[in-house]
Amino acid sequence: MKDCDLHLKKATGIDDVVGRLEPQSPFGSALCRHLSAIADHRQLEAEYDNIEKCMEIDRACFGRFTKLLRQYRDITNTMKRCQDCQTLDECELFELKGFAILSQELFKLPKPELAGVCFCDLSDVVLLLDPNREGTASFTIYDAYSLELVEIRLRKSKIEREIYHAQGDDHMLLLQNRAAAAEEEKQAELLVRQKLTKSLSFCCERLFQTAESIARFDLSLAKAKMAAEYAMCRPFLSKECCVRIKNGFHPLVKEAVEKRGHPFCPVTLDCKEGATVITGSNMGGKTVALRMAALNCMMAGMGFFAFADSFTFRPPDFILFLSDEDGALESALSTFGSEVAQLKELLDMLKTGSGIVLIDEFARGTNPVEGGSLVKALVSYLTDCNSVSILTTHYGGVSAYAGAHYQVRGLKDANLKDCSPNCADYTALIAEKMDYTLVESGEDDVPRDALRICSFFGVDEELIKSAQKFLKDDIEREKSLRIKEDFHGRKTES
Amino acid sequence: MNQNELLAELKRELLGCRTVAIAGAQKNTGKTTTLNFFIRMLQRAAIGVTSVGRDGEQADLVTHTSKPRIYINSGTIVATAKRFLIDSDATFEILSMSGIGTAVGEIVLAKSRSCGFIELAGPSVSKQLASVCETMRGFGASPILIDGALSRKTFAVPDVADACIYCTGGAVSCDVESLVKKTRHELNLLTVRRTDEATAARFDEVMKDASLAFIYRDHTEKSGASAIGVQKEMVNRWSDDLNAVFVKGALTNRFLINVMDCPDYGRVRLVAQDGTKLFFSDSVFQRFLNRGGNLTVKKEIRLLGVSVNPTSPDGGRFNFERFLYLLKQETSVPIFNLKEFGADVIT
Repeated sequence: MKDCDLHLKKATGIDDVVGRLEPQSPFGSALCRHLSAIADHRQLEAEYDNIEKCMEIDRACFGRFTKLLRQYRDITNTMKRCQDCQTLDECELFELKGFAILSQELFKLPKPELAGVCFCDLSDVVLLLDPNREGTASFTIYDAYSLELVEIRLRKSKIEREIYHAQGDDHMLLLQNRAAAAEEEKQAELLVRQKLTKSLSFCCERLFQTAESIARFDLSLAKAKMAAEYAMCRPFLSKECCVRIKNGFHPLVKEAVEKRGHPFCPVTLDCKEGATVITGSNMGGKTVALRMAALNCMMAGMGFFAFADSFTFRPPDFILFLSDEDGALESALSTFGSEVAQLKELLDMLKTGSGIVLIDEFARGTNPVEGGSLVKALVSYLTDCNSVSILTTHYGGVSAYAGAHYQVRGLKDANLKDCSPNCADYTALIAEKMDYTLVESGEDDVPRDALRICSFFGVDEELIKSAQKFLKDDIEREKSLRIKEDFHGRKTES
Repeated sequence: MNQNELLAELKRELLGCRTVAIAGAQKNTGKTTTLNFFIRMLQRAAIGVTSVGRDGEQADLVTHTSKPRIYINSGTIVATAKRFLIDSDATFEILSMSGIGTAVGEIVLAKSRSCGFIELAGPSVSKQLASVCETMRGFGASPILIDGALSRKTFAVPDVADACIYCTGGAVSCDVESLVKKTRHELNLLTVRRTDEATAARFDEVMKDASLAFIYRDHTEKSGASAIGVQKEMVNRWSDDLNAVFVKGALTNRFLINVMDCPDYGRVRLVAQDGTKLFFSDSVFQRFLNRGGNLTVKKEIRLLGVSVNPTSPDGGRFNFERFLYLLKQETSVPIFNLKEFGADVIT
């Protein structure tokens, strides 16, 4: 797996989310472990159709299916051995019989027609392994398979009856005779097993197809269950390059927030081709919004419903998540170094196709003058690319170069003075006062909530006052610089 | 009661049990012979057989002495590793695959459709053993006989079995007096009486998340200390308010000695899990009891009988009659010598 993929997985927590799927059969579980993005639109629509159809199954039927699926054992190796005509032992034949009986039951049950799911009639397999039509799941090398076997077993059983009553040499002789008969029985059983394996090997294609269908059916049921549990929506596939999310949420974040007793604020974003910039106060949920967008794009791209009220996107050629978290340690680079390495990878990827790019506070680890310029350059570059890019930043003046600008409503309207400055749980109080809503913004500047948050946390007044003074000086210097530039500009023009 | 009447009584007892563990003082005390004998004795019943870990191999893997093989009747429900089932010369009907793995393959449940020799390798984890026994019972196995692989009395698995047969013999000692003394002591520990119903229920509740608990008049203190690290806790937490001490896991001499160091210790009730967890020496245990010590167990082990193998692996032999005479004065459970019925057991 590439570094960027690992990074994306970590950033979105997709493994944990997909881990919440509850496939019932070993085949479904195996499929869950190997999910990948589906590029073909029609195939994606078919996956969504499958989920929709499974969501329509009534509760009783759903229960019946899961009960059946739960009984399967993973017999892929046995099937492979059968396909290669390697003589199966009694236990393997038992496994195949169990598989065939369960699948036959599933085959007969009415179920929705799902794309890629086609259960085959395995009645011939069941009959082969249940020659007496007993209908039981147990298996033995039945007498019905061979007349020779019947004769040997009768002989052996006669000796066994005599053995208990014999003494001394007779006892020994009978034991020897029994051992010989048992050996003959083993040989005769081997012939039967060889014959059975050969007959079954002709059915292998159907067995494999059934196993694959079970996996897909199981996965669709699991996806449907998840979709219902989390009130997910069917993604809408757009022809144009975009990501539109109405009231999207990240299930893990939502759970954590609600567990703490706070209401969760869903996020609405409309991002077109080019760059969208999100600004806002610290702790305002910018990164969460990025993660949520990335998660939904990944999930929808793998044929899941999305965690939102509505979700529209064009399945991307790639999804990239660029941030300075975690990456540094693995690549043995500094925070900024790791970001730059990721940026290089991103620029290469952008040349290969149209993707979805999520960038969290790029260049926050370097000096703000160069960092700000770098972000401006990056945003204007991404605006001209045929990908959807969403960036969060604290640098001012960046949004002017972006196609759209969202701002976290933040602490703007909240009155922090009411709160006790010495309260123990600042995070909880900030969470309460913070308005996480993203609003489209025409402003070019970034909100300045950092000092307010500091004061709210009860940081020393003197320090904050001093910071405010520096801030004021900086703003004034900036203003005078601008006036000077304007004056010089006009002068050269004239 | 002569030996035949004794065995008829034992048979009735066995048929009334759901699961019987065959435990031994140590290796070569005739556990497999005892199992074979019971299988023969119960040949008309739909019994189940399995073992804790591996047993029934032809040669003893530890002492290299020849071992009796396990010979089952038709209609026996067996839980053993797949390899052994396939190697067995009995004809089997496979009933279920347990999904529990062992070093020799997955444990498979099967019903024999003929007699035959088989090696047993059952689950070695008590929880898995319980689940396998449950499935066997579902297929109609009753009683289920569990052979203990390593001949240690700890493997009698009281959690799973509701009765037990204790095997001893020349392998422990060929000196009758000392064997009687040892056996009496082992039986004393194994059959420590059960605590009252309310305390047993309290034990279950309290010990769900603790290995040691101190029950005071008005509150309970739990501790995560292992039974071996108990000493310090005992001294620190001992008080006049202390009513009982619950302990999970093995208890050794040190534990009793520590208790005896505490003031007025006879007043405090000590409750252990069951008799297989007690590893006290005869002298220390007797001293504890003589000075008024109060030790009970949560689950009492029902001892159905003592099976004696009067020979030892190095060819020694002792006088069974004398042993029987001496041990009978100490215990009321049936004591029997399977060698006398050897002709009935196929090896």
